[in-house]
Amino acid sequence: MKKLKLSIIVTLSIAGAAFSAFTPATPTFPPTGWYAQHDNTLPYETNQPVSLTDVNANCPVSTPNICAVEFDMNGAVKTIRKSLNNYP
Amino acid sequence: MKRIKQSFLLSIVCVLFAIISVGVLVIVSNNSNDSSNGFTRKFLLQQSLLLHHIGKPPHARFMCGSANNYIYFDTDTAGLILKTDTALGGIGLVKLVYPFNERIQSLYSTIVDSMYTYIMAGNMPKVIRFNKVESSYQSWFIPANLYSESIVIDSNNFAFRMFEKIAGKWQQVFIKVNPVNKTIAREHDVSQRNNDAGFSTDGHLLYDPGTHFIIYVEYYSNHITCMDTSLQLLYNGHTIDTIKNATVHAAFKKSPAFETITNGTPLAPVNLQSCTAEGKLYIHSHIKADNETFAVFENNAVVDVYNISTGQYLYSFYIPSRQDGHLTDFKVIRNKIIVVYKNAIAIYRLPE
Repeated sequence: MKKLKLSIIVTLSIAGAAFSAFTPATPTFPPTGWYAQHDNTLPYETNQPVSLTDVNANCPVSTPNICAVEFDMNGAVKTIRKSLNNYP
Repeated sequence: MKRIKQSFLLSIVCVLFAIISVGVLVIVSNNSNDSSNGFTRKFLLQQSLLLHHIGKPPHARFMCGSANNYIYFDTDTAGLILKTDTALGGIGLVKLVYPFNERIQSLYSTIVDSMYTYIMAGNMPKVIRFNKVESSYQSWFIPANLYSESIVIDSNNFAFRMFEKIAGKWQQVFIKVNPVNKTIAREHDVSQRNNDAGFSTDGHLLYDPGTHFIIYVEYYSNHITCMDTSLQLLYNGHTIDTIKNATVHAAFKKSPAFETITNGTPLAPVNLQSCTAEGKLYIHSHIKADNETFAVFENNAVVDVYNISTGQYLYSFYIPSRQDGHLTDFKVIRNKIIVVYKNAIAIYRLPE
């Protein structure tokens, strides 16, 4: 009985390790709604929250890349955010 | 005794499970600099020689120009510029008199030449030109949309990477504007269109006064675009690494009040800072070559040099990383490299 228990634990551990190895450490967002999927039928919308924290996390200190672009309700570009700039 | 033994055994299994999981994740993780990247660099024998070094003023950002034996650095406040001599002998402050506002502050770059200082305000969108001699300024609204990148071709001609809606989708394209003559030129089929508002092709727009070529170096792939001042494509080049396609994707969020696009995947930069000087393009690369050791690559900033006229790779050299933190900007002026670190500014002799 003990041996059975032990073998179950070991089997589950190995299965768990194998599963975790092929699963990203952080959950990925669903593929629908992502921009730049090279799929012109996309509605370009996701329910995944995009907060200022996310935006700032996307800004490495060493490259002045675009972090975010905000659009107004008419669809016009309202603000471009880049790293290495002060955001009021 | 049996229970203790059982608990001990269970703990051992849990520890083993954790070690195996982490080990497998490390092995399968995609770190391009841990493995062979399929290219090698030609290094110069001569190394960058440190000539001058000072602590960085806390608000300095980029080197924004040089003129009359002075070097200028912009700061995190629009209109405040730091000035020093070519031996870094003390820092002076230049204040541009203009009603700067939060909109300008939210996205601007500063360019200083011998005659003028320019504030390129991407979120206005506006160009403000300050005349150093007459202590006056002229400002122009740039028609169309906001711009993310800008260069000064000459005192009346500017080029931008500007947002534009094409077939209902936001893209970014190259535009040239002369606000004095009120003329606008637009590129045709030069920019890649990935329907992601230009996020995956984000990069650095440069101008080389020697060749009169406009260069665009992408951050997330090895793609380089070279245009003349009429925005005609001269060639599509590439850096020496093998990262042909950007892995960066953007995400879109719609809320009742506004909509936002931001990077939705971890950034995987290929090219970091870049500059031009006397017909050569200098790019700080983020990709290790196969003939570099990890330790040397980590402790130096590797700069690849290209011939702007042909796009051909010439050679590479290192700018040492210092205890002053990582490199945030560099420019080449004649035979010197001006380097901005996180906590210091240094001048090196350019290796030849």
